[in-house]
Amino acid sequence: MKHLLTAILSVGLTPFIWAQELEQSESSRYWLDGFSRTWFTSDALLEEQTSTGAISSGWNLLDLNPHVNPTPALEVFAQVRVLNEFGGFFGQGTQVDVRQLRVSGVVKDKVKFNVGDIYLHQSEFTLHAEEGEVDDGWGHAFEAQRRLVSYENFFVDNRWRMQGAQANVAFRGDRGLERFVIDGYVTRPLGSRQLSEGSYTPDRVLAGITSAAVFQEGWSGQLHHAVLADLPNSGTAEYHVLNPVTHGKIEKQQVWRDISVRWIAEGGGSNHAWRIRDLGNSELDSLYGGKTGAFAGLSGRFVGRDSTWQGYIGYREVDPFFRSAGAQSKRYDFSEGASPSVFPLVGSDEAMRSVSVFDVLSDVTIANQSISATLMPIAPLFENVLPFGRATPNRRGFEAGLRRQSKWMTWKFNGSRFQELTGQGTAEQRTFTNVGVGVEWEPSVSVKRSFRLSAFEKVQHTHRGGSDLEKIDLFTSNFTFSAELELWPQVWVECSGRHAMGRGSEFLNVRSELGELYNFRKIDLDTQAWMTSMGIKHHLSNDVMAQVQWNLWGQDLGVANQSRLMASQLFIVISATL
Amino acid sequence: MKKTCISLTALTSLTLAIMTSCNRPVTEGPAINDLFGVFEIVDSLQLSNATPDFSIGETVRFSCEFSKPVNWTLSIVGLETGSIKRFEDFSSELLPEQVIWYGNCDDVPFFSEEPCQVILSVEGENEEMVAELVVQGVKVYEGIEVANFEDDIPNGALVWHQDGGNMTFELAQDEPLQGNQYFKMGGRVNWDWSLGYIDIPLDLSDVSTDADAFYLNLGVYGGLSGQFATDQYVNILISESDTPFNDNTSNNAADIFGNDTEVYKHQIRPVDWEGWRFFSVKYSDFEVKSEGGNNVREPAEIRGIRLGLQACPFNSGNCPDNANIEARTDLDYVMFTEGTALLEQE
Repeated sequence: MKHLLTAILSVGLTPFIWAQELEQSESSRYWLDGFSRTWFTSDALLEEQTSTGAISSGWNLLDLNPHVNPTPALEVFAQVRVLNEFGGFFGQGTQVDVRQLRVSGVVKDKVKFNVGDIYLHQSEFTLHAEEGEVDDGWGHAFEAQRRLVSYENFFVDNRWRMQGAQANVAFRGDRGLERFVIDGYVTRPLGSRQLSEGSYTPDRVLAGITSAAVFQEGWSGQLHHAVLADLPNSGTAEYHVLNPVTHGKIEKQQVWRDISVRWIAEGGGSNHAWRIRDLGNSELDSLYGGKTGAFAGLSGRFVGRDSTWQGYIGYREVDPFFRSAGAQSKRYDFSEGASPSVFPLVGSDEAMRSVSVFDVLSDVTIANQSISATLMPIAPLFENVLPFGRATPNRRGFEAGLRRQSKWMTWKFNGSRFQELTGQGTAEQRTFTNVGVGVEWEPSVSVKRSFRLSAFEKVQHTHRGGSDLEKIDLFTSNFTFSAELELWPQVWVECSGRHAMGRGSEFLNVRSELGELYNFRKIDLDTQAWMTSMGIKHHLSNDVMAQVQWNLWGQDLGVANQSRLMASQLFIVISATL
Repeated sequence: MKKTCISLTALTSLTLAIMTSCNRPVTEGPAINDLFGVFEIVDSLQLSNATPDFSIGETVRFSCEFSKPVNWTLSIVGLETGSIKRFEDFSSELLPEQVIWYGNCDDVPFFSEEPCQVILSVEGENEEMVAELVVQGVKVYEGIEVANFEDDIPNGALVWHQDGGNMTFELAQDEPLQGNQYFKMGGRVNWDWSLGYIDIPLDLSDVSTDADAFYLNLGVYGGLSGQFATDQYVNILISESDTPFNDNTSNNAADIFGNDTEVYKHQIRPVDWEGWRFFSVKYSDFEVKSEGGNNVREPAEIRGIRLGLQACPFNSGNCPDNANIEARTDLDYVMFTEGTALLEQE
């Protein structure tokens, strides 16, 4: 074990040292940074399946980022990846590719622009990547796995990574108007693909514009507009999506009884339709499935004078047919086609197991990087109240939250209650209740050593009345904890855990390729899934970190000849920021 | 504070009022009570015609109604040929204007004049509905005939094969796909991939269909006594070259498939089944073999087709099993169709 770690460290750090030397020797017009990671896992089944043996995988990678500044106002950035999978020798299993390419600059000190691979966020109803099912309230549990999944899938904050161009310009105003900003982008989330010699999928384009104004006396406003559209002439497909979305927001910031208050009133709407092309004459001749939807909400955010507490309340309605591809696309793929990388087949029938806690937290391939033109499948075990974030359609209700911070302790509470606006498959409407409670304890053990303990419990209840067939009663619980203790300077022992439990029944929507709800799949949940992790983290320097963990995970299956899957994983990751 | 609250609340209320005034549907999607309710047959399976004569354009329309939407499968099975035609859908009704049988099949053998059994089954339900019909006349498929091998090989066609063992590049009558004869392509050649081929001259200058809607259809027989050679396949070349078909009689067969001529290629590979199967390939799915022309597939410019048998040669060392087995990919019923594949013709 010791030798293995040393070997991995050596391989992982060699490029790092080389890159530092190169950087020092180049002029300021050319500079390098990057990232290096060595990742190794060994997975093994426990209990009755031990005969399978352990499966090892991993890679060494170096992402080298050359930055070229031909002029002070222009930068060309590329990310070149060299990746070597474990088990591959040089030339075999080694990939070299350009992972990112971007040109950024400022035109006449006024207009900032980016062309190439860009990370975009607009608003929660137009273009927004919700963290989704991995959200645990504090964000500390399974940090190493989550960082790995995020990095490999270009997950940065709530932004989507896309290829295109973006520009913005800001103006300073006078009198009532203090500042005015315009930001626009054009991207291509999906390029035309050749399906056969004579058939192609069309280019899919997402474009948007945002204007924001800050007025005096705490007033401000934002207007966002985004359009997702297929370009019919770039392909031979019959159906082409068209999805414009508009979101307007007015905010008022003020101080009331020593409390900083921000009131937000917002609303907007969308249209979602398919343009049909007559394959006989290549003309766009009709629209199919055009549906409009609107949303509106009022919320208030409060921060105490000394910032020791903050809270929010809000009311929101989102129409059943509000569709926003940029805001409702999920970061994780729960479709039946999503296949877990580790031990995907279970039971005597070798059935595909469902995506579980372990997969969501650590499987790089389950994550989704693309904008979906239709609503993606959801996983009620993890999130059933707002599976598409604040833009979740067919919801009306209240939400509130409070965060309180004392010297060593931070408390967090949030709750919401929503109801459907339109029943699905029945006139009866679902009601959703969500309660989240969390605590984080960070006592100062000593001046030199730190300790942190975090825990968060999210409970959701979904209910629907009606006939025996229509009734729904689903209760889910997701509990996450994490703790880390600094044993020696820069050496931490850390542990994390997550337990998901579901009891009851729910109907999953089955939608056609065009997003139409045409069937339901009833699921009866009486299931648990869990993952625990224990390990050591060592900061070798400010930029180099090594982690060794032993993970134990499992899930209830209920398939032929196997009721439960139990597995362990040795997880080693060494990363260096260059 | 109070003024701000009132203003923003009024604004939001107004927006919500506008939203509410829009017509929201009461429900979305099919009724759960229907979907998950008790399955019942509301109207039993009905056939519009139990003695269809497809040769004169007659059809059979099917109707049935269930108490809820289900995944249903309607199968028509020829009791003598074993030919099958299937319809599948998710719905609560088989509508006679939608579920129509034109006498075609999903794969060969073709239906003959024979009694057929009609079986309607529903996923998750044990109940099956069965009906019978008798085909009085078989469907006549329309298209541009390339070779049916009934009388002889096509006019002007050239056959070439290697001097291998048990070479059978000839007409045969024992197991035709359609009619009485078919073209046998088989044998053993240990030193070369190509065993032989038949070159057929064509003149399709009257065709106005695009390559996207122009299909080559052919039946392929694979296997010999339950075995088939490793990596055996049918190599299809279509030439649009204006070179005379066979001026040079010293080479192997036709001149229009040379390296400097406009030739497009498709392979049915591997042929790893026993018996007849039927294939339809869009001309636009053919790849460029040699760039002697404009690289645009134009059906009207087609001057000839080569249908060849190729197989992995034993001497290459890559297919040791081929030492003791003869390759075989017989052909029958070769036809171009316009608009749809042959078996999808209505």
